Amino acid sequence: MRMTAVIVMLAAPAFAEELGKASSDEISKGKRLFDGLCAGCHGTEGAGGGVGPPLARPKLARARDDEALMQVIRRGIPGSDMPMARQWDPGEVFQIAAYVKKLGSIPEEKLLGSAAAGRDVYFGKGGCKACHTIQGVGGRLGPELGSIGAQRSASHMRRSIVEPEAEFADRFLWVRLEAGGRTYEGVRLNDDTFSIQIMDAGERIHSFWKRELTAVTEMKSKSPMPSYKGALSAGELEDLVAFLASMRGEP
Amino acid sequence: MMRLGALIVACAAALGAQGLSWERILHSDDEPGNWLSYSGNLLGHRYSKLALIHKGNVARLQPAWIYQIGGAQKFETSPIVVDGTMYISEPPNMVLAMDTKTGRSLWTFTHPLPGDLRVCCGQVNRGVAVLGERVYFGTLDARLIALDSKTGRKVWEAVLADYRKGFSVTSAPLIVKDKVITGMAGGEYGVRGFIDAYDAATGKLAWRFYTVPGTGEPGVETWGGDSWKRGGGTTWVTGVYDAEQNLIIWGTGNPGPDWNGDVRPGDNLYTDAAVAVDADTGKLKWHFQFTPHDVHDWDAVQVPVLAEGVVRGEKRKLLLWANRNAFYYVIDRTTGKFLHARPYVKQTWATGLDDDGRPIRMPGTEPSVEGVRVYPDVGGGTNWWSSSYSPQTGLFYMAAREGGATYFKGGAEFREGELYFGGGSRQIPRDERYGAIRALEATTGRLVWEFKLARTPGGGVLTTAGGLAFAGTSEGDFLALDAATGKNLWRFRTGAAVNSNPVTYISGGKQQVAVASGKALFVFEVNE
Repeated sequence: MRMTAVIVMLAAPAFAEELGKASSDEISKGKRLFDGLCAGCHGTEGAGGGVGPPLARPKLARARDDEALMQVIRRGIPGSDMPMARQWDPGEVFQIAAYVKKLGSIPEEKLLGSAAAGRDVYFGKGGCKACHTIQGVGGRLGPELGSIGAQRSASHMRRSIVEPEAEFADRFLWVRLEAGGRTYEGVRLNDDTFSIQIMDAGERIHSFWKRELTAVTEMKSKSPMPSYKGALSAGELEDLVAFLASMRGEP
Repeated sequence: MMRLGALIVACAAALGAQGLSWERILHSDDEPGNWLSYSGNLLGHRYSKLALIHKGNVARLQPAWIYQIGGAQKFETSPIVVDGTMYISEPPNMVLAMDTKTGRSLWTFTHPLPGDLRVCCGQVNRGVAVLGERVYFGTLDARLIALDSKTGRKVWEAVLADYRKGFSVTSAPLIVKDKVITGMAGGEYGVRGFIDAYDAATGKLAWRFYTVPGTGEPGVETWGGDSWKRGGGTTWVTGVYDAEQNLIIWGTGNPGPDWNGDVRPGDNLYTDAAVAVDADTGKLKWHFQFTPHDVHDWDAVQVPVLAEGVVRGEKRKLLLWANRNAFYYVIDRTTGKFLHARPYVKQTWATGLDDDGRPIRMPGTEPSVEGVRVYPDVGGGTNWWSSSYSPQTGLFYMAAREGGATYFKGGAEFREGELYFGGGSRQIPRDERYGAIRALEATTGRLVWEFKLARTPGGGVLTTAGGLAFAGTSEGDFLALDAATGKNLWRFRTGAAVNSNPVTYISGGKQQVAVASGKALFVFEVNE
């Protein structure tokens, strides 16, 4: 192999690093292609269409980085329903990938608080640790927060702390069950036609056949998390948000 | 040691035995110990006269054997059973003959596939067909292959179309007399649909019926410009045969592109329709279009069910159809004339149907750039899996899906061999999504009972003279229900979704029930 060819090969991935720098024109071209080609399975705006997984996520299971994302689009996923894009030139693949990347990106927001001070709020006054896990430490009832900063915007987190029932994590459901004269409340772990499994506030796991239950209440708009409105000062809230925003799944 | 002369005589005798005759397939209801065609009989009933397994002993149903497949694809096969041998397809394109007594394979045939297949929705196959000493199956690269039923060796291979343009075959063929009838898939690739008939002995094309008419043919005016060339109307689920009228009746898929109808103004005949064609010539006798100018991807790709019953005070030959568009239809199958319909799941797209069965669309239900919320979702009230009709109860059994979607219109740029969706859909957040096995009064569609499921199902229903309805769930259960009441009498946790249709037959004097679930074929019998 001649030296120039080696240089070209080494240079190729550098192009891929630029997905985040795609122009708005390239992204809108990507959207047009995506709507005709990809949205059928992945849903418009990558929201999930029931066939393919949602793509409006900051982290994609099959694409750790930009190059992997373009690889998946170019080659498909063998053994799955994801086809390869045969007749799309590299520029078009780039446009689609840039659009997909943008779908999952979280808007940059200026953080008003201090992450270090927020850490104290989280582990101290806030008592967040009782129900949430970060880096293996904490309670099990609520969603894991170790990479929440890569998944949610600052304004989303701010709202969730003050108004926990405004929006729920995927699949989160609080249920109340009655069996044998007792009442059980907890977060649903799994369920099907015949059975249901929950974890109660004491982190005890219960599994029931539905025929054993005298009542099942799916509390779709209920969160066990208290509102921190008034419980934290405005400054403490901003510090907590800054701390959570720094949780990006990296040690 | 056998002398040479005796060997020659023995071989000649074997050649004289012609295997499974057309007469046996035609009269399959007379030998319920076998399962001779995709739906058990040619009328699409998926019903068995067997009653060795019944309400009294179904609680003792246990696995007799399990066959595990390799690969990562959905296992959708519906077995054929002839005199103790079961023929199944295994994804992506393998065929096996199995001994039903032991679960051991007798032979395996693997069709090598190219690396650049065009299949929208999985490298699946729903089963094979048997005639004489041949096993027939379709391939993902759009071929029809004939194998010897005792060895699995290839006898002939016919190419339906160029797979690089988006054509494939996922459905089981249908045997009619001396012909192998096959549908095809590719409705998301801008292909033009057809039904093909091949000479069973030679593999020579006998006729082709295009489900989308071309230039100069009646119906082409229902397509704007040359949009018929990419019109879809694929035929990816096995049809049925009406022997009295010598008609093949088959369902057709969505028009292309799925969600953007602007490029194909008009009714888009004969997509989303039932078509009845002469079995000898492939000429169209009648059609009934369920969803004119579909923009929600509601393929009429269900197994047609042929029955008789009294409708509007008259005994008639009926076509019964639980359509993906949420309506249950009763149609006169001598003329294709609409008799009656009613919704069997929640729907918000039509205010009703007119006297000819044409839906009266609710305004504002077409996909838009902003998105429009409509019930049912893109998967529909039901999908490709089989319904069942029991002459014993007079009920029509089906696996129903409840839920809506937000539908979006997108660009519709066509490139040969690429996906041609023209939009997409999304599930509605926190929607009331669930499933049910439902029994409908066959002549009216009135709900008689339902067995609710926590998730929307993806497999079909089998009913038997033992008073049972068998069905799978997407949660990983296989169920026996009382066919008269819907009461759950037995269940088995298979551990993965059932994406297939059950069958039943006799092996070694025992009735067996077989169903593919997850990556395995489960075969059950009653343990005495």
